[in-house]
Amino acid sequence: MNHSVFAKLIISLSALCLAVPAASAQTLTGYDVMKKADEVDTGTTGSYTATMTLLSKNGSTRVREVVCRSRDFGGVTKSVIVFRTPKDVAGVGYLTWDYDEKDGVKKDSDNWLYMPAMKKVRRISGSDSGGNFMGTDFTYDDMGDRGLTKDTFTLLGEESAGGTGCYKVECRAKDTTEKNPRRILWIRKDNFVMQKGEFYDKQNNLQRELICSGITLIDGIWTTSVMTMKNIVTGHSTVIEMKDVHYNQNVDDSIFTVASVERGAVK
Amino acid sequence: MKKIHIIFCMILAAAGISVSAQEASFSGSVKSAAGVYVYGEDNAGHVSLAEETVSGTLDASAGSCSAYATGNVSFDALAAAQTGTLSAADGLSSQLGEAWFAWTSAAFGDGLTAGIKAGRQITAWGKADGIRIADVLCPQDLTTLYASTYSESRLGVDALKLNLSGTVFSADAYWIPVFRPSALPLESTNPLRKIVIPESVTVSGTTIPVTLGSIERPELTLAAGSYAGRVSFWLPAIDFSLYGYYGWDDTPVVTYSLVMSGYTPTGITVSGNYYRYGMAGFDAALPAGPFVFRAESAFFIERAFARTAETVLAGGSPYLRKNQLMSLAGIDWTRSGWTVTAQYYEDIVPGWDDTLDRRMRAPGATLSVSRSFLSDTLTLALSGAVNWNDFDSYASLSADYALTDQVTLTLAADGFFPGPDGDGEYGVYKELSNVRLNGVYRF
Repeated sequence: MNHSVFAKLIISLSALCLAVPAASAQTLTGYDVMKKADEVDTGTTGSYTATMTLLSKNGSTRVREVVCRSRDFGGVTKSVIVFRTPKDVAGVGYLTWDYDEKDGVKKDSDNWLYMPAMKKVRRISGSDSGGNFMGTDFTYDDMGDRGLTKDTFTLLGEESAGGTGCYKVECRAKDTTEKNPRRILWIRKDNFVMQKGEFYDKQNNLQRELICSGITLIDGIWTTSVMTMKNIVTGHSTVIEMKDVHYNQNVDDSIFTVASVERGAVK
Repeated sequence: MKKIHIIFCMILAAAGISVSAQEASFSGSVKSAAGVYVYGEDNAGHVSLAEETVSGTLDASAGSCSAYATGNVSFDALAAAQTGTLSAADGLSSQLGEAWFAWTSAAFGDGLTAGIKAGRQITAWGKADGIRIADVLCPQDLTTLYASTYSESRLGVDALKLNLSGTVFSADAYWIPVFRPSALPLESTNPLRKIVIPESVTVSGTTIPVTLGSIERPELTLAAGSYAGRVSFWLPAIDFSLYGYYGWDDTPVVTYSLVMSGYTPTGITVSGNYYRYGMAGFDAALPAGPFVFRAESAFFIERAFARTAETVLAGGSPYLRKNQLMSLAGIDWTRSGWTVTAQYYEDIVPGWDDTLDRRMRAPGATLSVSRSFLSDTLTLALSGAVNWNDFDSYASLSADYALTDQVTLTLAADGFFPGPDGDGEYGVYKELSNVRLNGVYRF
């Protein structure tokens, strides 16, 4: 299990799933579109339960469920994520302090992991940006929590996806050794929420495809309810469903501390 | 033992009743394990492990209060068979791992949280993996080589804990009124017993039997408690903790006495006593890119060390008090499903003399490499340790496969290898090298 990737995944998941209309109709560049998508309002606090269903090519399924709480402290977003299932990782908790990009530089997040079987909190690396997490088909990079300085963006045009008008943006990583150096994203024109994504490998072959659905307003914030990532090569896919989503509610600051994670305050 | 069984069953029954009535959860597992020795003329091919374990955990909370209890019941078929009666009762054992209640309040302002935790609890200290440096609060379960998690390798202490924590710090104070020693492999059916206490020794060309005498525990008085404290800080650039402990050493100092028949020794009796010591320690963890650097150190003040059997049998005192310094440095690297950890440690007794039943220095190193495959359903892991003094070593290779979200199978092999000039600390276990298969169902 790659814990640090997961911690980042959830942070990125929040940023990706939640968006508000942020632009008027005008001529935009690829960078403009992605900047607006990156600046979407995610609320001061957020809480949700995410169910990740892993589907293999032969039809077998595995289910992971996590509960998440997050709060934007201004310059740093703190999140705590706790596993409910499967049972062998139930109670495993992650605390992440994710820092905003500043002067074109994004500082590595601070991450702590609590494993009930080990009875202690462990500091974990905050820079792992590759690899799948928990067997899902999602990675940290897939979810876009990478700032805007690591890619160059090209607006390929406008195209309908999921029955909605979208900007089609090509993202090319400046570091060509990355797992997916080329991505094509469909960003909705009305609210700058991602509708679809394609992820290409180093040989420029389509590797994975992301489909977002159930995009609805919750507490005044656009929220993606279902994300399906399919690995074209292996036939494996992952469906993430968001439940019990709430924003801007009172969340106790003290739960975003290592001591709280160690106590198992979030269940 | 029956009493413990009844208590444990009552806990399980209470859990079943209350789960639907309040914010509480009950979970557990059924584990079956079997293994075989693979080394030694007398051992190879013999069953090393045949055990079934049922575990249960109750986790309840209501507002600012919470309660937690976990325990297990095990049947060791190997022990039952060795007693000759092959009865279930002979192989049955149970253990109350933890049972505590806690109260926590965030009503102190400025982000401060205060709390109390009372009852049997397991607490881990330090940043080391698998090496005991400052992690002295909870005694060890030394009766088995097959503990798969930290919780399985430690025994809970009956303690009162006070806690005060803020955004970046936490301070804990412990009072442990009742001494609990490490569990030693002294049962006649335990294969580790002959390593701790040999069946016989040769004195002046004569082989005489060794018998186990008494191991005296401290009196259960209010003044005989242990005390501990920890202050931890978690900052963006570094985590660090300071530790203090004054209390009982959880492993006894072993001493020897001759059984005489006239002027002829006819046996040796091994007995033991527990002694107090003080400890001051610290640890730190520093993330740097894909790496996390770890350090831990503990200074033991006036710890009692056993003296050699020859010294004691010649009339010397059974122990000497010396200071001890243990330190560890480690590094973790995580990337794309790979996890690699490496550690180096030192264990030094300043002022050591050659009557002590240990060396002045006991350095060593550990290495662990793991990688997950098949959507994290398969994990392969290789871990090992080497003692620098004798270059004896230990290696473990394991494969964990999640058959479903509920069932996990583990195939593992443990090897103990003597050094070039002697068995060393790991090599003495060489005949216990084994291959084992576990299956666990979690609910």
